[in-house]
Amino acid sequence: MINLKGCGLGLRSDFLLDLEDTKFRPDFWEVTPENWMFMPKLFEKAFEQAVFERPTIAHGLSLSIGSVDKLNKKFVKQIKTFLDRYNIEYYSEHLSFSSLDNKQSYELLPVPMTKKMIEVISDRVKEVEDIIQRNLILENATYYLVPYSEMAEVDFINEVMEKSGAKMLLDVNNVFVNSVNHGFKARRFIDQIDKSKVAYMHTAGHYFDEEANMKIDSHGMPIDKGVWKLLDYTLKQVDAPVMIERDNNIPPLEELITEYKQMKKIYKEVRNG
Amino acid sequence: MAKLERDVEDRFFDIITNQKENPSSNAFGIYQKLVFYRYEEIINNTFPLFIKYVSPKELDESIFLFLKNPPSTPFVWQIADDYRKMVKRKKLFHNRKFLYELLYFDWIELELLMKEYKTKKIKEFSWENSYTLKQSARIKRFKYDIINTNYEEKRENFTVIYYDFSSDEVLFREINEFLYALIKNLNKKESIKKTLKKLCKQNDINLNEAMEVLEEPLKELIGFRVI
Repeated sequence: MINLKGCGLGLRSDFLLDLEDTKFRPDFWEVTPENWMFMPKLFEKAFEQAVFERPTIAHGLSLSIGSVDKLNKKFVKQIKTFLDRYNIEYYSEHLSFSSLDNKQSYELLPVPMTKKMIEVISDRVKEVEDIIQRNLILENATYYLVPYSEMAEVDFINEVMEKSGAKMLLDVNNVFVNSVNHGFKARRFIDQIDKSKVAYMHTAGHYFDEEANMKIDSHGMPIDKGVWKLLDYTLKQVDAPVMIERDNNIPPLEELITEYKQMKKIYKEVRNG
Repeated sequence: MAKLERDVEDRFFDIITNQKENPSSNAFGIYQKLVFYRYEEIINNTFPLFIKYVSPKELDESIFLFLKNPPSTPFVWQIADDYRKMVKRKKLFHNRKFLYELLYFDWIELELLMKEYKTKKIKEFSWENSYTLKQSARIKRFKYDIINTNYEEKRENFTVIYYDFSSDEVLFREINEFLYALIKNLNKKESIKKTLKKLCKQNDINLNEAMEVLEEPLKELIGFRVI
């Protein structure tokens, strides 16, 4: 694997063409393969330049690793072609399911947290890794309800990583959102995660939905103070790169750069003691 | 066999895609909304012309119907094509058939933009060569005056829609019915002259005159990599 370091940013078509007018480059980019496998020619050159001038990692949406279903091998092969084409070594996905019986929800749905599910996911991780010829990295997802559970989330995640051999993408915002929505201590969750498995980390924005009385992981808002604090706490325990994931309501690049600098400051302060 | 896990996922998926009410938890409602908004966003972004002619209530109802049989593509942008086909198949908005053409017109622009093309050097036109419609172009017979933005007015017209390699945009232009028929009949097995000859015979048209009239438009279409 490449030695990924520092602070990253999700590369989005909304500001891709603006990169020409700025010297700003993050330490690494994260791209969503599903959004770049097909792209207007207008973006092609700028995209290639971006991914070749900075280390780039991929974060997928549609793998649905947690489906009790047959793996969509055709899709996984398309992912591999994309990763090979742009020489991307890291490929992460979500510990959730989004499709079933060949039908897509395009949303990250919570999996039943059972021993059997761990087996199912582990088998599927191995299938995916055989095809992509890379380690799969799995992200702790947000959930607004637990459909069925035999164990605590943190134990489920640790066991999935252990049994499957997958690496972990620790999403600090997701931990924060879940902790508020489901009434547990975020720091305790961080304490209990197997840090040796963490490949890199995410941070992102969320909002509070009054009607549902829950925090919603929207990736469409600036990062919350509480999440920055939790990131600071996490960075003291986890020696891994971190990045901002902004998918919706994307502001002008300057605003993202400001937020990126804020993250970098926290990162440097922790790393330099 | 993970039967319990299968049942749990089946039930969950069914509740959120069929947008069924579930009094046991309002969290199902969050997922229902998130899934609905995801579809709605894509449909709004892909069909800017179409959505101007349907009410928010009609649009919502069509999306609810669409969600009952969700698409299989892992690529979100491709949802729009499945939605377009569903609208036509279920005969929604059947009293405003121009909407089917608007859906096509909006969709085809995106489809042509998202394709990856291999371009070869353009060869000089010859009546002895065989040609086919390129991947970067479509021909369409419209029943409504879509291309002049008189969307609700009936007017049969024939249009070529193509990816323009110089501007990286999708462009369109009206062509005459005869040229449309010629392009539609083009095939790799015979020269364009032979195809034209058959068409002239069927329509009782003089071949030489047809060749004279069509040569320039055909050269132009080759230049645009339409054929």
